[in-house]
Amino acid sequence: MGRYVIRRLLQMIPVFFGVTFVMYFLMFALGDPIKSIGAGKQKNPAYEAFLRQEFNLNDPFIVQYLKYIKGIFTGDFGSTFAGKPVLELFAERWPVTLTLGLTAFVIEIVLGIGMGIIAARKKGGWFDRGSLGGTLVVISIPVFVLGFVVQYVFGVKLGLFPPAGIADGWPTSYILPAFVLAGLSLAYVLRLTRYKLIETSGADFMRTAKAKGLPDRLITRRYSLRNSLIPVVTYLGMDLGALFGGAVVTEGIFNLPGIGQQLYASIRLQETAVVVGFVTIIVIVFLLMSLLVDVLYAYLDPRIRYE
Amino acid sequence: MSDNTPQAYDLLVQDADSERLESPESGAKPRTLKGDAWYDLRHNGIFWISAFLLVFVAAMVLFPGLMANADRTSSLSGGCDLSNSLLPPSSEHWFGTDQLGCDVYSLAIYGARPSVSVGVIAAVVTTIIGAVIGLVAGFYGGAVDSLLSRIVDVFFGLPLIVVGIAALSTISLPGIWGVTLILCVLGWVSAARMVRGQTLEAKAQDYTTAARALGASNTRIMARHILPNAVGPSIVLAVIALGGFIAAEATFSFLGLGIRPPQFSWGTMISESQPVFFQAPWTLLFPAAFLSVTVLAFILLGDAVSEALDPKLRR
Repeated sequence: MGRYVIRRLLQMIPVFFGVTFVMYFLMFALGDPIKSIGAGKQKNPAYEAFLRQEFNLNDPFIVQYLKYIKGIFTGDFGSTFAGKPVLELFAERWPVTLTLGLTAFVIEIVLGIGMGIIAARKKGGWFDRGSLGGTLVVISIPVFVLGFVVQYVFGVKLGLFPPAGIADGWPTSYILPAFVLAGLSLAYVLRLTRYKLIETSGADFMRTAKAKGLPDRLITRRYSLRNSLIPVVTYLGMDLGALFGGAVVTEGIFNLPGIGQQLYASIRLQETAVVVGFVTIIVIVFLLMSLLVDVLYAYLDPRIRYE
Repeated sequence: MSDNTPQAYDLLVQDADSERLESPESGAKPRTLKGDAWYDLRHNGIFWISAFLLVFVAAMVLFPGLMANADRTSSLSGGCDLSNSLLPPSSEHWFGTDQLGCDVYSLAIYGARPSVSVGVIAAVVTTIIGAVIGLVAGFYGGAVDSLLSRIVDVFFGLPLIVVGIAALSTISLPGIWGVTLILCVLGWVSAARMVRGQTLEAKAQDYTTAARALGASNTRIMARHILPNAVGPSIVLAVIALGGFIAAEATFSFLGLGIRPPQFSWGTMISESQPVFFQAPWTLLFPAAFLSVTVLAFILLGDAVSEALDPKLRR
């Protein structure tokens, strides 16, 4: 197991370089960021020259990139053009996104797995059919449309929740965006849980458990869930990373000052250090999550062994 | 998703597995995989519903003029009257009008072509790229596999929306091509992973060893013995991804980075309705409904085809 984890961690190194390189190149290709700073205002050539020097903008691309990487390895993630360190900006923004992402994640787990279990209990029943139809609708509606409609109906028309901003704090301000962010994954988790439970229900060990006279509740918990949850856990693990990436749209609609909104603004301002730094952190979280999931497998299913 | 399996499986299920190993084009009686799949599809109501919807979508894409009048989609041709701005649905304007007084119904019909084209092109291209990379990685293994798998990891990790925003701010291709290019470059990863998995599985089978023992070349083994295993799952993945690409185009257009005016798609219509949504919800709801129903039809078709092609899913 230890060797497996180390091998996986080593595999992250090329991915780290790949992601930073691609993102740095994309930002480099946007052109000279200094030109667009303070557009319309009086230009100060000396200050512009200073910024170009300070942010290595006079160097060729590959030199800029290497200097950036060197900075990261010495703990310097760079700063915005206004001089604010990227890590400080990240520390300001990530609580909002983390709260949003984790709320969405909990909704996804509790409702997705819970409703999946209920649907699988009575296959073909009204709840099963309803949830299958409902999830299909959610899957086919784009997130931003869902966001608008939810914001309009629950935020504006019914006034149950604040339609935008985080002034009311957790949970009131976060519930609508979290549901919108979780919607798509919730639908997949529900369908996957249900499908796997039904698939497992035909297994011999289930018949044995029933024949022994074990109560239904116990059979579900000890036998069928434990055997069905592996693909669900895989999906959830990959999804937690995706949730933070998908927060760009949700944060935009509900006007939440999180990482997604900052990323969108920073791309527009060509703040290379902010964009590459944020994306790198998101990707590393994503990779660590998928490693954690693979380690969880061995716990869920003792048949799985890693060398 | 195998719940709506057709009832007619009992005859087929016994020898479905052995037939799967034969090459699909052996047209010998009684049944081939293709024959099985078609038999299965014909008895699947979901297949017919999605097929009917997709025929309708195809008609909108190919012959929008049959259903709507192009003049009513643009102020340039004088078809829109600003004094008609934001009218609610009526017999004159079935789906109402937008800010510029253009007919939302005509816009929705003509918006189909760019939206669906992006999805179709991206699905075809990503499937081909994914198949080639997955096949090569799985078949040759070793260093080639390690290298390609790391590249796949990089692309898998990159958040689509963020990279898309950055890349689309850089490149400015006309019409649908910018967003199509981005989706092609970023979208092939899951196809590559799937084909690689199928290849690894098929490579270990006896028939592959047999072919090698008979002296078949690598190319022949890949083309005749390994790739056919991946065709079914690839089609399914491509159809479902197609729906996703259409939605992704709408997302980028919504962010102002996809298709730009004067061209329009369902995505740009939804985007432009944003400021007037509260007073004129029809400007958002109709294009959103067209978009969602199209995506849904592709997902349902993918479900039905995957069921038909996979004998293990028949119960």
